[in-house]
Amino acid sequence: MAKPSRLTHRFRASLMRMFASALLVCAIVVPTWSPVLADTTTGVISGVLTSAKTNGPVVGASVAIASPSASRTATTDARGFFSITGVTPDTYTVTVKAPGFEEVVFRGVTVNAQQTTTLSQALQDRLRTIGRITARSQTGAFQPTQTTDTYTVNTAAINTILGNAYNTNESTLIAALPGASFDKSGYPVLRGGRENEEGFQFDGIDYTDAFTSQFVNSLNLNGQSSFQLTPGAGDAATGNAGTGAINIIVKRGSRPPFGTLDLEAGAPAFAHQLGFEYGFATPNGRFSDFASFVGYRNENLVGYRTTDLVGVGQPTPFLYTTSDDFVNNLVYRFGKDNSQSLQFLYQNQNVDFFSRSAPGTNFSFRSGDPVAAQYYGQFTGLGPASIGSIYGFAPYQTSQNQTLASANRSPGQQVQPNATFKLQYSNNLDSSTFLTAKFYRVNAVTAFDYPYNFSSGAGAVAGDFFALQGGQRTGTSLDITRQLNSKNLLTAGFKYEFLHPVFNEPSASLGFAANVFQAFAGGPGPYDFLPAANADCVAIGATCGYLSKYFPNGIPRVPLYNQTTIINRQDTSVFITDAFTPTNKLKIDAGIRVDASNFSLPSVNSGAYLPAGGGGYSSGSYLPSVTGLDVNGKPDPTKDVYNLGGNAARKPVIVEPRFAFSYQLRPTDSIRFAYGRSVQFAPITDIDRSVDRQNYSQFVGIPANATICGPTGDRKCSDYADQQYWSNQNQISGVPITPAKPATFSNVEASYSHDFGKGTSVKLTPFYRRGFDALSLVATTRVDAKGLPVLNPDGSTQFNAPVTTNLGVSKTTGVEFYLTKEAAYGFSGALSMTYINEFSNVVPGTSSEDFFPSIPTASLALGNLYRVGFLSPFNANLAVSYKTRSGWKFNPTVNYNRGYPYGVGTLTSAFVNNVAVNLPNTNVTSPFGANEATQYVDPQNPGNVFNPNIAARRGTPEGASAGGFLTAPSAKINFDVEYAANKAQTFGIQVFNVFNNVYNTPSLNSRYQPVATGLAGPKTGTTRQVPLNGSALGFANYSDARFGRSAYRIDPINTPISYQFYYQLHL
Amino acid sequence: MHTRLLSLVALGGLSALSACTSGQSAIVPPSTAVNLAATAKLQFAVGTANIAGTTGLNTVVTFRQPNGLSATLVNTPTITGPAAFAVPSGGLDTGTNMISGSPQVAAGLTTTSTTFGQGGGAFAYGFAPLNISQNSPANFGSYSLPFYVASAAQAQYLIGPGNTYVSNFRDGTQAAGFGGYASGFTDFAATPVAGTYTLGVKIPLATGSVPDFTAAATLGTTVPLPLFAPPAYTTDGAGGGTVAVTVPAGVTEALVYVVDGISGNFFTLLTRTQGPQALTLPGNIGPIAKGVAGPSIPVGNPVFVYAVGFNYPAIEASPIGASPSQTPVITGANGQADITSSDPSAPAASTFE
Repeated sequence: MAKPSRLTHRFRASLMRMFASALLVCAIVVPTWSPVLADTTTGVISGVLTSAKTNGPVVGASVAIASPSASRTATTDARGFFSITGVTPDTYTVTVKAPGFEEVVFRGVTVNAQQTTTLSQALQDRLRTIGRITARSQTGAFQPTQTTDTYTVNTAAINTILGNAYNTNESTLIAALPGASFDKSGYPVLRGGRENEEGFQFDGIDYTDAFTSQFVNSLNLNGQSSFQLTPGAGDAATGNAGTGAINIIVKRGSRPPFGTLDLEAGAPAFAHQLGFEYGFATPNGRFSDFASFVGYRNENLVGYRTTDLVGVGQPTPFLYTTSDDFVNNLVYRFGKDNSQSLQFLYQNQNVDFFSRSAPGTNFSFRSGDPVAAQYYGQFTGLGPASIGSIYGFAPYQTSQNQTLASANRSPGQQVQPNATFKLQYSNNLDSSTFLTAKFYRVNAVTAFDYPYNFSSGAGAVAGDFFALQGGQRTGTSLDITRQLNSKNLLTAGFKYEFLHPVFNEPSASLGFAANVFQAFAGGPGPYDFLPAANADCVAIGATCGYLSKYFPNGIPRVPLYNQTTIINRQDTSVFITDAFTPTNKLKIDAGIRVDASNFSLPSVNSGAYLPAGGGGYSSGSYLPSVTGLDVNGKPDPTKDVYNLGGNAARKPVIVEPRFAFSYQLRPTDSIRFAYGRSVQFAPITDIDRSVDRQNYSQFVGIPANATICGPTGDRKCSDYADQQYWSNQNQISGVPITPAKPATFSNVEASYSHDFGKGTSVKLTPFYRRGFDALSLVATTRVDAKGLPVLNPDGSTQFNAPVTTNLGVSKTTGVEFYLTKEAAYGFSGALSMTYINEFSNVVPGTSSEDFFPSIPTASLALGNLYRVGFLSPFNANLAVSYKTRSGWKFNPTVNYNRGYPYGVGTLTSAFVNNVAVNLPNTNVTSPFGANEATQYVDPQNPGNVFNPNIAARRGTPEGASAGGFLTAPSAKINFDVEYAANKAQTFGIQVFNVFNNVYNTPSLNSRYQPVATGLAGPKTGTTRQVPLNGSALGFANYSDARFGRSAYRIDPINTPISYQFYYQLHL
Repeated sequence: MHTRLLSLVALGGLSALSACTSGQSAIVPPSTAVNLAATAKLQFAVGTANIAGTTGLNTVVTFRQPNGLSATLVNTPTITGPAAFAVPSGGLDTGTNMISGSPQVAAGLTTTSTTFGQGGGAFAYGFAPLNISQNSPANFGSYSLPFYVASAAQAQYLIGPGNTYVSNFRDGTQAAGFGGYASGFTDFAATPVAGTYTLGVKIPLATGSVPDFTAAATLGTTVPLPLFAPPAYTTDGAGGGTVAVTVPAGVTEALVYVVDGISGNFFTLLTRTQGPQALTLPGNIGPIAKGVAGPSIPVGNPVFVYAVGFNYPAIEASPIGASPSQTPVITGANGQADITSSDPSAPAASTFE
């Protein structure tokens, strides 16, 4: 399932599709492993060889490891210890030769990235055959020397989780592992963190966008050899990953060559996919390459496709998805014993989502849209003709009533390209010293193209936009791993990244809104753009025509809002950690990491956004020392409302100690404990929300006619361009009063694991995480010139633009459970379960709770804490595979959640007589409007806000707090059946959503008409708005398919049962 | 053994999960509904209305839950009078013997124009334009009375502070827009006709139905109460003042309204004494700010006064406080709900300070 990126503070949607690749489940030697390696793409093999007869060390033994992708050697030291660092992940044959001992061969020793595989063996002087030694897999739950909480799945395990080897759904893979779960919006999160509080990595390099810190790969998999999930802080090599890290390790070419061709087609919608991969290496192993391509086209079939699109609120859904994803991993080895290598990894990906207008309609741009006219008419008193005549033109629009079709535009599409490369130099300085140096770049800028965003009421304010969001992340790093002795493995690293964000969002709707809302702050409003003789102006007594004399040839339309960025960012980190193994039962990892960031880097075009006269104010963290001006436009330090936060915000340095140990109680029992501090730097979108001054250049020199400029909106404006700039900055974009510091987390976790034998093991991990300086938006109530709240036509309160703060609170307690069973044939699989109890001061169920959350000021002032609303408290994932030796595989997978929180609560917070109080949540006190309440006062005897007389309720269960109840449990079940006719061909069918559950989670029906408790009126689900643009639609009354006449509505937006047929040819 | 365990887990899990996912209705949050037919009670009374000298029809309705609150927040009432009764002007009601509301229909559908329209319903105490809609803020309005006269001859009759029943609610803790408590009567400038008047109340629902509620009242006499002469107000120069009023014979309870012509704030003085008398408006029951009540009517503001008298305990029947009665007394000794009101538009001496 390819995932659309999320536009900051706005929306999302969903879709799907897949990948993976099958390999052997290894059955081998006694290897145990544990993480703690700087280079996140290689592992270590180490061990101690002793004489079974004397119990003394075997000195000078030769240890050779060989796999299709690499060969290495080492020699044991005086204590019989050997260590080979920088080992490419693969399955190795390890050959031990020592004088006086017979040769020993360990087959199927798997090395995973970031893991140390331990091979300790007592050699017998007359060894006959060791042959195959059964041992645990490195992807099982029992990993006795693992100190931090990491889950590694290889291609076989991935295949069991995803069913089909070419299922590319990374979201499903992530959520199948302990500690991870889907949030209410369907995006994977780690231990209840927010969507951009998790660190994605691709073959060891940071893989999140430079602006929002969200994923860049649309959560598609391609070409991975293994996958690692580290919920929590991880080891000291893991940084700026917030609540956890995800790392995709890419396959490498090997000898003999391998390859697969994948052909797929789906039903009932024609989702089709072509995939292929090929990897090879030259006989001398010096040159290898791996290439993989997956392309799919998906005519999205979702539940609402069988119903009325408008009735389910989806007149412009994503109906078609295309994805092309190419990965190439080129490695050249050189030097003595191929001890050095150059790797060039490249990915080029493009995932696009297209929407079409509903059948029979032809949307117009918003300037010709009666919905927009009606919305703004209620604030301005202007009629549709007047509003349409001054409403700005969207990009590519040329006339007022132009249709989207005539401009060759669709109502919405989203294009998500991602180009990533890594150039890595590696050098095995000796068998126990490994060095890597990397240079990499991630370039991902999503284009959100929504010339008509379907929305009504207050939502109409964001009726159109075209946004570029993302940026470039360029980095370099140097890591070194050295086995100091048999007890100490030292790792150190340095990393530098330069982040250049991209964000541009021209919007006619927001530009118009800026002028409308500006009027509440004492500005002239949009009337300046109308001629004095305008009939509406005359009728309502508005003063119009101010700009006429400056534009004798016609007043321009209201300029677009256009947010952009003016800063870059530098991230620097260093770390050092030591894996200390005093005994073969105890292992201690101790390290320290320092992450630093610099937000005070003006981007090259920042000057364009400063006042022409050098007035000295801007927004964001790149601020001059004096930002305040008096009413005459002169600098006035007393007016400087910015608390720049000093270096704690602009140049934060975070020290993160990490400590962990594991202790093996018995051969089959192990415990571990870890503490670590982690950090998540504020995404640039939280820091830099600047309006483009160039957008208002045509008004330069025209005298201002309002005193609404400056960060507090009470300064004299230098000219009309300045006036427009500050209207947009203050009313829409927001001015960060206190630049945000990084969010930090203290993570504590422990595990008990047990090996049942025969490939079955279990692990239980309780954890606790405390967040500090959590990032949250806070929006104050918009008031008019009299200080009274400005209300939307639906009665809801209007808020000023939200600004980022560190006022968030986050406390999380949970338990992870992992049960694995691995076998080459018969049953294998994994059961993961995660319980999470998380508290936050973000009101549950509020908009963007899981991405860029915001906190109502009254609730913030009261210090209210809530159980979060975007998480199910309990998630489980079962992936079971039954394989026969005759080539059949039966593979059901179940993803279960206990239900997601719902309900707005019987209590809310509000200001009463300027005092923040908690009080009953009714249609007169709800801060989100009358339509967001479930209790209704008697209009003839309402009581007061503290003791309301409730005449009617919706009849649904409500707790005191929002999110007080859980929806019904839900499970998504897929089933894959596959037959490998021979080693060369595989046929399969995968059934998705076996029980055809197309509904998402309930949300409060905002069009509820209360009659009496539990009884809804006939207007429930209908709207009083004018017909939607394109009168053939009527307006979007909620249909029964959306449970539109109930207290809660539920949208059928999930993909119904579908079938994917596939054929794979293995070369 | 472990293989068996896993397979059991898998199969058990699948069967259990199928039970919780196969029924889509299971995902809708459960809802329980009140049994209106069993719990709500409708009362209806009619009487004469002496509307500044003109005789009209007065009505009083209570439609309450057991706790005394409004039975429903949406309904459509229809009063059907004797055959000889005729509505002078009320949209489609004109010329008929019915005073009606329009059925609630979904937005976008046309509806009929009637006396109460779609917005009017029968509530805890009286008819009011309080039918709540979807996606709309709370509404606390009331009708300007009487019906079927020019707006200049109409007045609002909510009950505000100034009497022992209503505390000074203008302290910032009331819902925005709340103006006062219902006085319960709805009078019509339509010639009353003796006979039986029937009130039918329909409860519109999105799904399902509730039986209509009906109540009947008899108008035995069309002789009205005496005319209520306009009261007069004299300021005390300290935010309060005195109202000189003569309560007509037959009136057992009278409400005198003192209205601040600038802010719109009003005060309701109560008397149960007939004949000429002086009622006092305290000077310190104005809006409360920071815990301190301001002047009732700032010195210099214009003041308007008018009055209405009842032959039944009108203010006792008003749903004021936390536990109003479900079935209060709404008729006088003659079995009717008669009222007499002064002309609210009549200029009165000393109304301006």
